[in-house]
Order: sequence, then structure tokens, then C-alpha cells
Amino acid sequence: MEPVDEAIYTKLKDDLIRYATTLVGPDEAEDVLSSVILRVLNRKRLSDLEEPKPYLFRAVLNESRNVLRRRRPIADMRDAVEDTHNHDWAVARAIRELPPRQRAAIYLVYWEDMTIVQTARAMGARPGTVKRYVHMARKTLRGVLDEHGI
Amino acid sequence: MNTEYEDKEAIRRGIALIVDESPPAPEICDLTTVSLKPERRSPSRLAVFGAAAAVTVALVGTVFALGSIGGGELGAGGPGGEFERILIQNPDWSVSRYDEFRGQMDTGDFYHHAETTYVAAGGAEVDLSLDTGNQERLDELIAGRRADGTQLADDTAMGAPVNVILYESSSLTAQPVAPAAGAQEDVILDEGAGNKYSAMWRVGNVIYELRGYVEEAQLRGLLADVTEVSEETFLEAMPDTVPTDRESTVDEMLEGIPVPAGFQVTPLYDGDLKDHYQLGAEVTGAVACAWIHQWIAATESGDTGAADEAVDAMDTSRDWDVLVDMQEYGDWPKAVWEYTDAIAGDGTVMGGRLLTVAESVDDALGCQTAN
Repeated sequence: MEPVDEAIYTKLKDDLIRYATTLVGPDEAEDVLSSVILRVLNRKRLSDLEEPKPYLFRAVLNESRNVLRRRRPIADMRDAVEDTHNHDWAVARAIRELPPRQRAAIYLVYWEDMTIVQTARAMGARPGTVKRYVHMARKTLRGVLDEHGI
Repeated sequence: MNTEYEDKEAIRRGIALIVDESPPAPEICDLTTVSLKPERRSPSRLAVFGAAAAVTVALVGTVFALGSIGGGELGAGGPGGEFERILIQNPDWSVSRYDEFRGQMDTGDFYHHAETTYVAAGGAEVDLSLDTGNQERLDELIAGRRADGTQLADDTAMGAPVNVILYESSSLTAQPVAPAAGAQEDVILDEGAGNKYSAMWRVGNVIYELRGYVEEAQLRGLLADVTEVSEETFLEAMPDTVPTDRESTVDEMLEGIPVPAGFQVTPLYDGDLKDHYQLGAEVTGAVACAWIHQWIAATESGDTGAADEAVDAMDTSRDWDVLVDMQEYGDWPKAVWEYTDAIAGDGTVMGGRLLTVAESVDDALGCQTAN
């Protein structure tokens, strides 16, 4: 790998592994990220990408969706260690059970602090659609918060 | 009654639990080794479950992305109105991106959002966002940012008081990594580094936020340069990626694309200014939605002729120039083609679960989302 590609990967890898973990869970996050990086590197250098971060986030989302297609249901991650009486875990579980695109949108907006337009670019979607994803996700999660009196 | 900020905090705590389980990212040496053996899907697992990675990402607020307009006000920045044209007029900064969109939630709340990205010669970026909102909304947004950050001295912009907050600081270097010899020099490596500031103010019923990873003095300097300008000046500042003649661009995009009987192109002429990619998504989305809705109706009524017509029309979408060009910049074309394949196949797509075209297309392609 070229030094500049190493620098890009080093800079982004923690963000990418967290995103992959949010989308597919910890058991397959590393596979997702490895597959994405290898696939990209087989075709081009990371430094050739005009905007590496949104490009790689899109690639992680796509690869994650491939993984989710092969694995259903999706809400089988880490349940054993969860304290089901813990409100935060209830929210975490609800986030995991969101449809993948809603989950991606709410992660990018809430955690990565991306704007709606940045999120749209990172998801390959229209801004209005992202807005709807976030709105729907919030509505679902609001229901969970209500159930737990939060 | 919880505030929106409290909701966000609760949701972030949930996300924190999820990302806390993240395994270490594969090391470069592992990737390099594996890249010589492409048949192997991944290097050996590095993570030990339960050994949670430290969460170092600051929990920061997302200001404009989520809320309704606040107070039910419409007016100049509302869905039927227009924002004033605002530019940061500074010779060291130029517009690299502009997007504007508006719509309505199922709650009936309208939103109207514009976002301009400015880039400096050294690669630094700031975003200037405009959203419809009243003072109550602004106060809520400032409270959210303040809870995450450090309140700094107020400033002024456009004659209005500006609230300035340092809300994220990273330990990562703020300096771009030097490119290798011979590599292009415009690689963006400073994203997420340095100090992130937010400056918010309100003029009329429009809330402004300027934010980015810059130095405080730099941010304050930019606030002084925020200026209301004429439409002509604004359009001249747009980069080539933002088509300023929307009507002719829409016509160009539609060349060679079959549209269903009764398809109305005129509404596409009247939308907001946005970059070529997002306009392409809007135009091709309108056509795809029309065909797919024809397919849905025809399938339900047993009109095989109309259903086949829609399938045949969408089958040409892989040759639509605009979609072919957009592939380089995002995955919108793949979303369209996923539905192209679905209507030609068994009428389903895979989301988190198996979904029918009828139940998912409006959401996936934004068929009922304005702009």
C-alpha cells in the first residue's frame, strides 16, 4: 500500500469500523471493512478518490447490506451480554433493529455529526430521503424511549 | 416532556454502546497481506469480544438535521418561500458545494434546508447551513451544542448576535498528512481533526449555522464576511458542479430517457438549486418513480401491457447517461437499478428484510419527498 493510502486508511479506519459495527454488529464488522478496503485497493488507490470518507462509508454500507442479505434476522448481536433492564441497551437494541438505511442515517447524523447533505452523499441517497430516514428512525426510537419512561 | 436534545442524548448513548463493541480495525499490514490473496475474505480476527474499544468520538450535537421548523412559522424561508442569497465573501474561500431541499414530514412539519460548503486553499472546509426556524428553535439548538461544548464570546453576523461554541476537539493532528512523492496533493486528510466550532444566529425566520474544523480567529473572520448578495452574484459563486440553468440541465438529463404517458416535466424545472448529482437523483427519481408506480398499479389490476411497458422502460435505465455519469460520485444509480431488477424479477428487494416494491419504493427512491 502506498504511504498516502496508508495515511488515509489510518485516518479513517476507526470511523469505518464503528460504522460497520453499527450496521452488522461486531462479529462481522472486521470482515466488512476488510472486504471493502481490499475491493477498493484492487481497483484504485485511496488517494485517487476525490472524497475518500464518503466513498468508503458508502462502500461499507453496501457491503453491510450484502452481509445482511445473507443473514436474517439481524437482531442477534450481543444479546447475551445485554442488561435488558438498562434503558441505554434498550435503545441500542432498537437501533440495531432499524432497517439498515435508517440505521445508517441515524448513525451518520447523530454520531458522525454529518449534515443531511453529507449523509446523503455518504449513503448515495437524496437529502430529502435521508431526512425521512432520520425522521422515521427517531419516531421508532421515541417509542422505545416512551416505553422506558425516558 | 423530553426535549429533542434529551432524545438525542439517549439515542447517542445507545449508539455508544454499539460502537463500544467495535473490534479493532484491521491493520494495514493485514490488509496488504490479504490483498495478495484476494480469495480470502478477511485477515484473522483481531478482536476479542468484550474488550471494547474506547469510544473516543466526541458526542456532538446535530443541529439542523432533525427538527421541524419550529413554531409552525413559514414565511420567507418556508416551503413556499425562498431563502435570501447568502455568501461568505472572502477571497481565500470558495464554494465547493451547494444543496438546497425542502419537504414535509408525515407529521405535517415542513423543512427547508440549504447547505453551502466552502473550501480554503489549504483544504480546510466550513459549512454554512440555513434552516427555517424561530427563536425558540434557535434557543433549543444552542442549548444542545452548549451541552456538548464550550461557550465562547458572542460575535455578530448579518447584524445579528451570534452564539459561538467549541463543541468538538480532536487529539488528531490538524495538519494534513504530506502526500507521498508524486501523489496528488489535494487528498483530504484533515477531516475530523482540530477544533470544531459552531456559530449560530437567526435573521427573521431563518436560522444560520457556520461550522467547521478551523481556528477560532478564522471562524470569527468568516462571520464578518457573511453577506446577503444578489441572485446573480450568488449564482456566479457556484462551482461548475452546481448547474445554475436548471431547466436546460433537466432537459439535457432527460434526453433519451423514456417517460410514461402524462409525465410532467415542468415541476422539475422549478426546484431548488443543487449540485449536479442531487439534481440527477431528483430527475431520474421522478422518472423511475413514475414508471414503477405504473408497474405497481398495472400489476395490481392485471394490466400486463402496462406492467411490461414499465419493465421495458426501466430496463433502459442502465444506459441513461445521467445515471452512468453519477456512478462515480455515489450509489444513487444502484438504488434505481435495484428496483429496475425487482420489477423485472419477483417484485421484491432486500432491505433489512424482504420488501415488496410497492411497500418500499417511495421510501427508497424518495418518490413522495419534495426535492
